[in-house]
Amino acid sequence: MTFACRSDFSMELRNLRAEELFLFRAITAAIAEGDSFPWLADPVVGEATDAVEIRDDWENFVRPDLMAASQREVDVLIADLATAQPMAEETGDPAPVPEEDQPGDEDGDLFFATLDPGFMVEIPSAHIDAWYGALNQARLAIESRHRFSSRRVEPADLEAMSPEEQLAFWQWITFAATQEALLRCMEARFDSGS
Amino acid sequence: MPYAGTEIITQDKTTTSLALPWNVVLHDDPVNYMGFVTLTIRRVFGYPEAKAEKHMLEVHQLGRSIVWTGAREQAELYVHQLQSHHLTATMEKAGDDI
Repeated sequence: MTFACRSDFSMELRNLRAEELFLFRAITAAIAEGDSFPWLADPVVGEATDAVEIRDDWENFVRPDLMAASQREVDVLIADLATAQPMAEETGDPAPVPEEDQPGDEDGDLFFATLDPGFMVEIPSAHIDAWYGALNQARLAIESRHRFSSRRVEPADLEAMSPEEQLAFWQWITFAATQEALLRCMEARFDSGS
Repeated sequence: MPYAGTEIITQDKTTTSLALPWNVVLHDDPVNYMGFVTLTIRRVFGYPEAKAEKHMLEVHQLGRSIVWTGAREQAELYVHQLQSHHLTATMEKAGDDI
């Protein structure tokens, strides 16, 4: 998977493999399985009368509003994923095949794997923040369940993981890389004053 | 008209409000990127990059940073905005801060 931030601050996810697309599409499950709103902790410190008032308002109005906004972020991401296009069809220009993978190479599987240029997803500039937020929700939820931020995962650890934990791990890695690219695009847009 | 024998007592009560300002506190979390925290502080508070970075580093190193102090309603709005970016934010009365 590669990322491109365009001059209009929209983004392209290119060469997205089918399994990476699957990881993104499984975002809803990732959020549902963890504590998806850990940042929505009690916002007020203290027990003074006004603190109680603020807490009541927050529980009744702000928290539902924030949860609805979070759901909208996920909806935007899912809708954009639905527009994923196979890159060969999009460009008519299959990815170049490295010389060592040309027909005749003894590893035929590698040849066919390399030939597939994967998918492309376009993220409009107006959706960048929603994507970042949706992936953040997923990573916060995964972190609440698996604590990957404080673990050093070696290849041998992966083998010992349950399928569910492996899925969460690959989502964690993929979403983090995507967020880094989104963040660079967001920073560029903010600094441009757009 | 009051009945004969009753006495009306009028008492003036003056209350002076010495409401303390509120601090908006940003807390560390294990997921959000430092660059994102800086960008969000710049966006929400309009701070220059250097000031936003100073707060971000305080959050990263000390676990929390008072990013703004002022009236309650504005503090509530800022907490709401920070939370909408999935940052852990709270408000506390200035003077209650640890």
